[in-house]
Amino acid sequence: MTECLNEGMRELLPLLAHATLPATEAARVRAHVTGCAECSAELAVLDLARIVLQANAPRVDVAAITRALGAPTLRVVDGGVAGRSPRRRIMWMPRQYAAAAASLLIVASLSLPFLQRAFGTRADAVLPDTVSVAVPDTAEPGTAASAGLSVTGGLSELTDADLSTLLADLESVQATVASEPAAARAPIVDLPEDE
Amino acid sequence: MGEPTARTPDATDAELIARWKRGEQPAAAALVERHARPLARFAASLGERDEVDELVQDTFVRAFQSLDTFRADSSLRTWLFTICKRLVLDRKRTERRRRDGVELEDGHAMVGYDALDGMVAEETARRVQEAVDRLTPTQREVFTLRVTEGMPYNEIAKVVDSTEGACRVHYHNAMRIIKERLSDD
Repeated sequence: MTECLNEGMRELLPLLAHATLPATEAARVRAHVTGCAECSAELAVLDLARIVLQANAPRVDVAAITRALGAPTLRVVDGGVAGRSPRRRIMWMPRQYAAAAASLLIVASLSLPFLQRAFGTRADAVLPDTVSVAVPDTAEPGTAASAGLSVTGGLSELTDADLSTLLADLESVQATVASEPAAARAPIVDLPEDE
Repeated sequence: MGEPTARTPDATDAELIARWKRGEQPAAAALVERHARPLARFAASLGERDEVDELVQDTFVRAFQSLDTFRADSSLRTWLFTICKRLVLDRKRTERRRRDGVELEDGHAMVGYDALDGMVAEETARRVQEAVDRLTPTQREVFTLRVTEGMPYNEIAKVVDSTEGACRVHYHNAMRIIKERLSDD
């Protein structure tokens, strides 16, 4: 199969086959094709190829794709394209902060019974003066209470909002002891007074 | 809101995107209706045969997630084709890692087509399809975009990440190979 030497015309044949040429230009190319056996044959191949490729194209479910796009007001945060619909992630609080807050509360809860066992019910006496978490004498083991920090029940019962509040409270807690509490200077072991 | 495509046959892509951003869901349906099938054809030209439906959906989801970054310096269809191609390459890389070693670049033959079996002119159609399948991936991409989508070379160059001149050469080489194979058989 030979090729037409008019490369400009040959360039336009796919666009003629696809009907994307302006009318005047399409008429000009058609006039050339009519008198050119090579371009006529090439146009026939292009027509056939276009029909075959379009007929053999996989089918797509347009309605399903449209549903997967969702409403425009939904902001997709993460690139969730796996699966049939996008994953949407609500970002309200970094997980690591929540985990840190939960860890602190667990340590505090676990250490409270030991402190109470060692010093009777005066657990508050050994807590640093500058720590704002105050545990009242009546508090039961595993329960801490203060103005902004309240834990009742297990940590697993906390909601995301509770954890968020606790995190905010914990951020206000001083991690270092500014001064040694007076009660901490007392003997750790109570010796009998008569000895 | 009514039938989406019935109300938006003449709207440009940019107009439909703007409508979708304003909350008009039918605008998205019209965009999908307009571009899904060309995307499926393009995916097939890249050698994708299985899960094309999912691939096209992923392309739209990815595109709609980042519509704000669409600069409109190329057509929406070109942009969608570019996203589709990236997804295909990602999938092939993943598959290649999993299977440890199948080369996916030039010479990767497409799987056979059988959709036209039993149809009139089956033999001619099969020969054309086989001739297209035996092109190199780049030749096949360029040929498909030029012939089935009628895309100009500057847009094709963006999709295949090449130059207009190179795309022109790929197209003419593809055309020559197809004609030779058809005349040989």
